[in-house]
Amino acid sequence: MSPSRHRSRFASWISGILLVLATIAFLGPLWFMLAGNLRKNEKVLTLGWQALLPSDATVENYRAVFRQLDFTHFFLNSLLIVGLVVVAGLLVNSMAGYARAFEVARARSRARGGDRAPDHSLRSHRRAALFRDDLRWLHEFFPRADRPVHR
Amino acid sequence: MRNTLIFVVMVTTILSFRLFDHLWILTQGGPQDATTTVMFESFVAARERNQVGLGVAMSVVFFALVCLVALAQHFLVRQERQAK
Repeated sequence: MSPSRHRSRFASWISGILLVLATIAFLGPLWFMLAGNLRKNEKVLTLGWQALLPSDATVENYRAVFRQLDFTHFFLNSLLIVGLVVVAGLLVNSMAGYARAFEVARARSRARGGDRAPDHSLRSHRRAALFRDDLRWLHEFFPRADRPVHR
Repeated sequence: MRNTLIFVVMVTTILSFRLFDHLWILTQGGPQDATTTVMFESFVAARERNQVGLGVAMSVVFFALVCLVALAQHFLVRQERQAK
């Protein structure tokens, strides 16, 4: 086996280990939540590392959630906020996105000396080219059929 | 752009469910819990009222509900795509 094969295998091991660590870091809190949700109040935070093992199950907490609180009201509030944020955000952001894309297209056609009135000042050409290079990522994300992506 | 929009909608939905800071600053749950959301109540229960178990149980229920919402969106989008 060539040394480069060795190295790539080593690299894949390392990246695998890193991925496992990242998974643990992300799933740990979630697991903590699931392990602790059936415990009594005092016991959730005082157990030390044993808090990660599920134990002492009671349904008391869930009874409290639905009896003691107006959970549906809170959830409806959450849903209202989510609905407003998603609809308004989507509207505004997609308008902004289309405006940006339109601007890019115009700058390109100007830089090619396109169909508009010819503008021969060096400055505007350079500015358009800079702008185009700045936004190359946009065309890699939203490739257009009529124009190849240059990397 | 379609896939981008779908992705944005799903991520925005999940992320805006956990809205907390605006509420904390503006109304603190508001007049008689009128503006309280689930995340806010679970934090207040655990931190201010020392009912950690209640807070945890609430966040588990909330987690399940958010999963349901995300799955519902997923299936709605897929159905619509198949209908086309």
